Amino acid sequence: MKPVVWMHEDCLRPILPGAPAIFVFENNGHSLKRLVFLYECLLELDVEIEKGEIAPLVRAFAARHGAGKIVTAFTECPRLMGYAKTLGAEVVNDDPFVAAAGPFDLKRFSRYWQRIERQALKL
Amino acid sequence: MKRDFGSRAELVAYVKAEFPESLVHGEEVSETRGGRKAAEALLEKVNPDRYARSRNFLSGAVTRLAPYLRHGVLSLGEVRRKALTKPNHEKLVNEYAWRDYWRRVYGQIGEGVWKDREEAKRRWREQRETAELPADIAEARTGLACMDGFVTELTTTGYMHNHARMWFASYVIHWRRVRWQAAAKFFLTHLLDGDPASNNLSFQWVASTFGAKPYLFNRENLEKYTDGKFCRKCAREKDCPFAKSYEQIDQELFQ
Repeated sequence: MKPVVWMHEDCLRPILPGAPAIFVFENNGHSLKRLVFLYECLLELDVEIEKGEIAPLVRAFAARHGAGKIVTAFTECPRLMGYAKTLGAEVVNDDPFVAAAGPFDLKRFSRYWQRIERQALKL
Repeated sequence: MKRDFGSRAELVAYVKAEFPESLVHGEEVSETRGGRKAAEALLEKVNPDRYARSRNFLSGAVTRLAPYLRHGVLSLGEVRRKALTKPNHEKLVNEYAWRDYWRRVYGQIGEGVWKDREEAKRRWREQRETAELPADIAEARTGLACMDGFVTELTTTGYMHNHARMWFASYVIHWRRVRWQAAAKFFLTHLLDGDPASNNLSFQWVASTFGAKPYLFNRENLEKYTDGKFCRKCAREKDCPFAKSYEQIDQELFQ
């Protein structure tokens, strides 16, 4: 199935090189300097830039490319993952900090660090 | 939207026209350029050894990678691996791990990052609490050269050093008794690296709603790590609210 990529603001790097990609600016209260920074990031990527509502624009983009599936990057942001779910997108976690499997005790950083330290300090 | 621009000025003019609602937060644009090329140039310069020794100083060898990490231009995996190829990398990798940790907490609690994670550990002597960021703070006219300097840098460049963020958050929350959410929102609007995970949970760490005790500082600490550059020119130099011992500050602020 030919895929397209929905690129969001938590992962501005190619996750599926060669596949058509779209980014949609939402009205999210960013200042001009943040928007210019984001725009400059996007200009270095092979991505179509849109503004408006994410779900309909991504769907239309996928239809235009005759795509059988939408792929997006994993993020811990519940709002963005909510869109991924709405779009029925395949979510990929391409390069996590460490590959250690959870669940983790996140009550305090020290507990988390104790659990991942060995892996984090190893190439 | 448009992809071809003859210059940065042309790009800025286009973004202004397309996002007029953003101009309510000012028309400043950062010198920091977005994109992978700029990120890789900075990544090459990262010196984990100097970072570990100097990162708490405003003039220290900090990486300036945060905006690129926040937006995934660089992944946490690749910056970790890059650090491991250089000597004395433990502290830097540990700091990258904080970002990963905040993200994981965010994944667990979602919009809960806007609510106190725990009860604050101390009660203020005066219980007034302000929901909005006072104008003198947001407009950099408190008269405190340090705080006004931090805000000016934030609103004009989108950057604030991590130590300055901690001092500023402590001042706003504990001295001014402003709800941390107001300052967190202000940071998210302006910081190039602003994200609800690191930002809000760090504010909560200062507030002690996600940590064992409130984070406090005094003038001696601030003066040391800023090389005195604010105190020397401060209009309130003789009336500095931070020129006290930690014990005095604690007694003044908390019950």
